[in-house]
Amino acid sequence: MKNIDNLLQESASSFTIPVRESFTKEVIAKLPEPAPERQPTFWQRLLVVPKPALAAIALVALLGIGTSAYALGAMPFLNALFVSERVLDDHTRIVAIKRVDCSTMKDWDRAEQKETDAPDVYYYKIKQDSALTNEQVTAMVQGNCYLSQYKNFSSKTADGTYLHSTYTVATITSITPTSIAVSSDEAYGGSDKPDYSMTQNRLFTTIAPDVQVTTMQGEQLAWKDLSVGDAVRVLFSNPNPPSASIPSVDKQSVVRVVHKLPTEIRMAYDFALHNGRDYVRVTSCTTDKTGYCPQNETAVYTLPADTTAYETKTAAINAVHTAYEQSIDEKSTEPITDLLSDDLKAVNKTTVASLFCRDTYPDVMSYTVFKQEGTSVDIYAVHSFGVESEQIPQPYITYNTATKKITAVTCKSHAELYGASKPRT
Amino acid sequence: MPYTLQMTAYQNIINVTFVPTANYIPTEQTITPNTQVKVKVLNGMMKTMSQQQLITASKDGDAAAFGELVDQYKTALVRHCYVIVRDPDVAQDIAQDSFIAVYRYIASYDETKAKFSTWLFKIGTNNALKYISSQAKTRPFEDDEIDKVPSPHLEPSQAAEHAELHVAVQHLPARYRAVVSMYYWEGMSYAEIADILCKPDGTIKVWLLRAKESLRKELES
Repeated sequence: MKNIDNLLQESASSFTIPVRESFTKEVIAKLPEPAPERQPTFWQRLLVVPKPALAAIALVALLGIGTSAYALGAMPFLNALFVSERVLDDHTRIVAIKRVDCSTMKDWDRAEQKETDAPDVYYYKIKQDSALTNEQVTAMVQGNCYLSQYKNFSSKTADGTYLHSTYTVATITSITPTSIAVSSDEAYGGSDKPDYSMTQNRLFTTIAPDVQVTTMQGEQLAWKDLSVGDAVRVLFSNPNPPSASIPSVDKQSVVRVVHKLPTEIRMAYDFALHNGRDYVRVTSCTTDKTGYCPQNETAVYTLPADTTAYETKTAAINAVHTAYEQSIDEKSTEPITDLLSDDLKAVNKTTVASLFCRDTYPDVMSYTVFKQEGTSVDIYAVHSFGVESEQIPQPYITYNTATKKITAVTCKSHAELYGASKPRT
Repeated sequence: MPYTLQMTAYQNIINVTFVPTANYIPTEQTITPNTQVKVKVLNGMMKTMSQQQLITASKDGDAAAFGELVDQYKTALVRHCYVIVRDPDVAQDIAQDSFIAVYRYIASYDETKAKFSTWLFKIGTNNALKYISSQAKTRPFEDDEIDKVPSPHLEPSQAAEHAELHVAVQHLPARYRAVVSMYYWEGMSYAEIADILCKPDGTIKVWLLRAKESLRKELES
């Protein structure tokens, strides 16, 4: 057997794929107008939120396709009601929001999936210096509820065609009695750091005679109630079966439903950016003197006893990476010394980071950075090909602040690491 | 929402052929910014342009110039996408979509920050990986989808060895296929691959180590 490096290098020249003769012409025929240089868009900002939220929106988007008729009249009533505010001794405040008929997939605020739509009260602990208002918190919860309802849309139509949806919130750019044009920013590329977002403009020239126009609460509207600038979701049918991608709009595409969206739905996205920074979700409890404990998932951010500070991104990644590289020989439980970069040693900070364990799937690598109080200040995640599961063992790095060394790299399940948290399903 | 890659014709499977060395079209490893190519401009005249000029012209909306860039990179990008998605039709669709995306946003491309090929491969790689991840159940790879035609430029034993290796590569996880393709077949550096995949350099090294270990085991079995 030859050296595998040599073999791979040698083989480069003997492996190619026939390319269609018309390849370049086809590309040129489809070229759009070059877009002007862009600033970060709404969706780009959205997609730098922590990864559970990404999983949520992906699932929400994909589950928009179902199996039965598109009965939008059955949309459940949604509500989020401000209940109370309580200022704690540490000058943070607890905002209580009552949620009604708001079954969730996985909310921006890391609320757990609920089995029923029973009314319940969610508590959010807001930092003292946060600019978030109670109205914004309420609107965020309402927006989360709206988002969760996407999964209730379905796809198979009575005439055998399939119903498709513009997954993202679209904006009406023009509308006539016989046509509607919408525009939406859709992100492409890496899930955590989209390389670019593309504004998709879709023009529909066939409107079903019985087109439905509704609010998310199921209130029936008329076509004339729609106007340029409205945030909408368009459901259209064509013969193409559902797929992971939105089908191109063609002459066979018929607008069946236009769903006028509330402004709060955008609030839910924006609010995600504040998660772990301006607020954390808490639950009522007796084990904490404040009467509120972090949700199970926010408990992830509770540091082990020997870790007490925070870390810079660069230093965290450097340290974690070095540790990881040295752990791949499966001596992961052995003490690892001399792993830290000089800047890490100098600033006397601590890193807790999770990496991926050998032979586990999905593959997730993340660097989580913590503040002293245990809340996440940022998550630098590289989320590869799946949704993270707490049931999958994760490498875990411990840094001893006294010795200023990473002392162990171990593979542990989420439950082993954090105990109280139940695995998500 | 993030999974909005627009592609068609995923279902068709065609044979993939190993072709002789002479047909290998190099990537930017040999196409430098100063490489001169002839481009047919709007008036039908042939004009010699460097890659940098092609990019500049493309930014000005010159589709012919962009077509030349497509010609330069299409073979490499399609091959790379194929290594990830393992379906030649899908690979071509993804490559085309990637070129279109590049053109759309070429005004934002800053050549001082990244090589054109790095940017292009970043979009292509992400689109290909996105496609893989969007497949609820990835179609199992069939070895006979690769038509192992011996290259006339290679000894039969060597051609067979290469074919066996390529099949083994297709059995690797997608992320490993991607890094093998970029490192060994597209000649990219760790840093470039790390940039493309948004991973630290060390991760790329680890993935390559694991990929090679897997290949070694499969080829020895």
